[in-house]
Amino acid sequence: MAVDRGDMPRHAFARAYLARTTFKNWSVGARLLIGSGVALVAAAFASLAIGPTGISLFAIPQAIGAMFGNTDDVAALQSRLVLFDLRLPRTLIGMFVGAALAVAGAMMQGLFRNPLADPGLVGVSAGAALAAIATIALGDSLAAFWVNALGIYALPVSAFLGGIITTTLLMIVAGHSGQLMMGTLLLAGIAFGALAGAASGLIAYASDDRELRDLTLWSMGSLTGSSWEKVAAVAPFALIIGVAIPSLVRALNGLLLGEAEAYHLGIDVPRAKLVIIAITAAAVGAAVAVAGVIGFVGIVVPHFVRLIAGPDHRVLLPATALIGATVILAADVVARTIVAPSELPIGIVMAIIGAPIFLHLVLRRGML
Amino acid sequence: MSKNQTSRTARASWQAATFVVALALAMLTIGHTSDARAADKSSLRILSIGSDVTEILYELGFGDQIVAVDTTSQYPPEALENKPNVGYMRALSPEGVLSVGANLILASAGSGPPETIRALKASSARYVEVPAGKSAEGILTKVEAIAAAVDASDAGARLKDKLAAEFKKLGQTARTVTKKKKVLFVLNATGGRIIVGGAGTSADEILRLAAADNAAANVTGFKPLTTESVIAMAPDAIIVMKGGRGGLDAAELGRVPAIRLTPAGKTGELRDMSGVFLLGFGPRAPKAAASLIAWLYPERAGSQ
Amino acid sequence: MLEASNVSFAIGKTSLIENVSARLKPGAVVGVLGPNGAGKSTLLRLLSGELVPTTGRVLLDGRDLSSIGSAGLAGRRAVVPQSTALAFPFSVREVVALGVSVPNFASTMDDVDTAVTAALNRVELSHLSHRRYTSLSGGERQRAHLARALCQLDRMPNTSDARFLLLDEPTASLDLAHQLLVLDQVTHVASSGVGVLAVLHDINLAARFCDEVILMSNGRITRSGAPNDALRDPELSDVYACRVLTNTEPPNAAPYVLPQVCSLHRDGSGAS
Repeated sequence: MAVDRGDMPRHAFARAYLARTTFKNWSVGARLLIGSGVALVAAAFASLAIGPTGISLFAIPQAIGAMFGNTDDVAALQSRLVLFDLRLPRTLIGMFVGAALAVAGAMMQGLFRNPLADPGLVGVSAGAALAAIATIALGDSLAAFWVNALGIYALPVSAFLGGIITTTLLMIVAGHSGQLMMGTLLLAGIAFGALAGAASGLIAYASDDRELRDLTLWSMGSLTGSSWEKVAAVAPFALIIGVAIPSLVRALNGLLLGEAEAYHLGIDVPRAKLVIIAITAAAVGAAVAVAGVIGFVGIVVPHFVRLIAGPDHRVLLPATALIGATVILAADVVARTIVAPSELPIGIVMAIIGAPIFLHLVLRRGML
Repeated sequence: MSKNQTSRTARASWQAATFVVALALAMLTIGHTSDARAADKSSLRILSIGSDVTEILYELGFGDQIVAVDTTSQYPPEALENKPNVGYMRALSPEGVLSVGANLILASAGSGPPETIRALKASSARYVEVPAGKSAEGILTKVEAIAAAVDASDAGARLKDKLAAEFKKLGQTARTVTKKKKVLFVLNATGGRIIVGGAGTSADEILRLAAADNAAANVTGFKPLTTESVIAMAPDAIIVMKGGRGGLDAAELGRVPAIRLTPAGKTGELRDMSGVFLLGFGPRAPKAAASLIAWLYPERAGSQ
Repeated sequence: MLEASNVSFAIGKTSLIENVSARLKPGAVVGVLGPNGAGKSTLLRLLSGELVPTTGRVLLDGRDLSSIGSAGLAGRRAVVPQSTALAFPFSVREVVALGVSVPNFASTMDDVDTAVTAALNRVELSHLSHRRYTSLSGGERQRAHLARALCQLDRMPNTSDARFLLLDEPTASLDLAHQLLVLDQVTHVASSGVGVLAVLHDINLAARFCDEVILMSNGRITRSGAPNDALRDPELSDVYACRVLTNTEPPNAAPYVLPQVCSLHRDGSGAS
């Protein structure tokens, strides 16, 4: 490679761009970032342009007209509904969910220095899922006040709170005189996950047929319920995560050497761990809240990026976010068109497409 | 990783990205087809969601106006076979539903998710929610709502009268039953586990209409039981829902040792029945209840 | 000046270090010697700020370490750990470059490149620069970490402040030639004004390269001072539970220590 990943990728691009003219001379990381950025733009366009109604992007002027003018044109109104109220929020939610889950996975793996770590490991997903399941099943009885007060936000807010509460409990359990014990955290996370799973099972046992169906559908994950309200609900999380991540890059890189070494390199390790876990909880909680449980992204996308560009978080985190978003959008386009007018759960599509690709990569290159 | 491999992978990912862009651009042009639908007000294009809604529409003579149904709509058979299917009624895709081009959406009250329903209400199609009801009055209300939505009050009134008469007759027959049988409704049975319909389920409702006691009234909802607890329930008859995923049928269940110890097992009163027929609570509900009575109380069959 | 004054460190009721004082002066190399479990690494970790003493204080230019913060400390001292397992395959270059990835280090990409290349040259690892760290041998890894620490020292922002380098058994997995190379580099660093503390097992290497040695056993300092004074019997034989022959001829040269018959009644294995 001709340009080393010496500085922030942004600078690397600028420098490489000024100094060299051909793409071939750019570093692997720069090429990966640009390639995945282009892929994300393409996937976003595809997600906006493709759908069972066959309304294409050429209907945009018409749809914009319908938004401002008080037109009576039924087709224009329909275009507006499909493009701006269905596909656009769905695309935005898909991008957020994909990026959030993939980045959360990458951060967990970096924090625990374990390539198999996953937000599921520290009980964040289980806690979020438990809260959501409780809201679905008890919405008519015990949690009625909650559902009445929050309306369609009840589920997202519950899932998010579930994730945060589990994480907080874990940090209290594993926190010891200001230090976060990673071993305790992992084991406690597994215990919490099992407990939350059992509680979810109990609730599922106690729920009726209709609720059970809802639980099952929700646990398979879907972007079907995307709306502008949900976009507004996750926007602050996207902002917080986006702002926090650049400041975590150095800490995550240092932590790959070990906690003591990270400290020697000037990283405030306890604070870094706290922030990383809080950001992960926010990302996973918000993603689970709007789209249900979608597996696979958090573990496979970071590995894919590491196989290509190495473990440096300066490239890993942005590339993971871009590719995670791309993968979810692509899978969602397939999920909502392949059996149209019906839909497949996106988790199924992800596994079918992604698992063989990942296996191929691993077999060809050797794991790590 | 070697430098060579790295650059090869980077090249491959670049090529893949290029391909995706090209594909997206192609989609932009392909997708541009007929989106301007001629909205002929005189001809209805109905999307029917819910098996009861679909059956009532067919009864009212609007089967040809149905352009698409959901997965629960399995009767009459042509509803499921020949019409596009928008998926399970609680997981409707908003754009998928819009793509069938219906101008009237008749949806059972349990349809979802709420975001999809909201989008459908905002669409140019008329959205009518059909109340869910599992009693005689509930079914008549459904008929009324649907008839009003398709502007067929005459046909609606006729169907209501017919159903009211059937329910009345059913009620008369049911009252003549002096000794009610205890019936167990089995949703799905495997070797050691049996999922039964307890209190508050549609199975419980149809058993009530058929003048039978629910043997599993002490559990709520559809619940898995062990075969042993079925012995304690001592059902006089067992209904096994047909069309379930795998599981035992009535004959196989009858051979399970624990079931053989129940009164139903001893007398062989086990039977497969269609779930859509028994639990649909559409216009066939009186027939479903009547057929149950005929099977459970053969001596009453003559009076039907 | 980096200084531990009367520090003790205990985990629960187990005391690892008791009442130890040590002082690092700019430009001097201090060797810490002693059998396994003597508290050498604990002393190093206390001096690095990684551990906080149970009693006593560790001071950098008179300020308590805990009041300085990790970022401030990283601008004053670098640490080479005993061993590091990387979970993910950084290249050697990337590991070394992490030494520059410290808060408050102003650096452009070219600076980093130059510093990394120079550091790799100094530990003779340039030929492995793009190899994966995970594929290196133990000795190569140690040299990579030394290069990382050298990088960190090089890039420290305030050159007027005294800088320190703490090494935990930097020669443990090295062959003879590289042991000498590493210690040469360490004395070279010291000659530029850096105060060095190195935990060592090889008494003779310590005698040859250190300006001062600290002999530890059972969490206490048994003896300290110039190698010529400190590395003497009966303390050496006592500390290592092993009879040693100390050759101090000629009197001003570094002493030479030869182990004799050992009577192991602790967990240790004597001098390596």
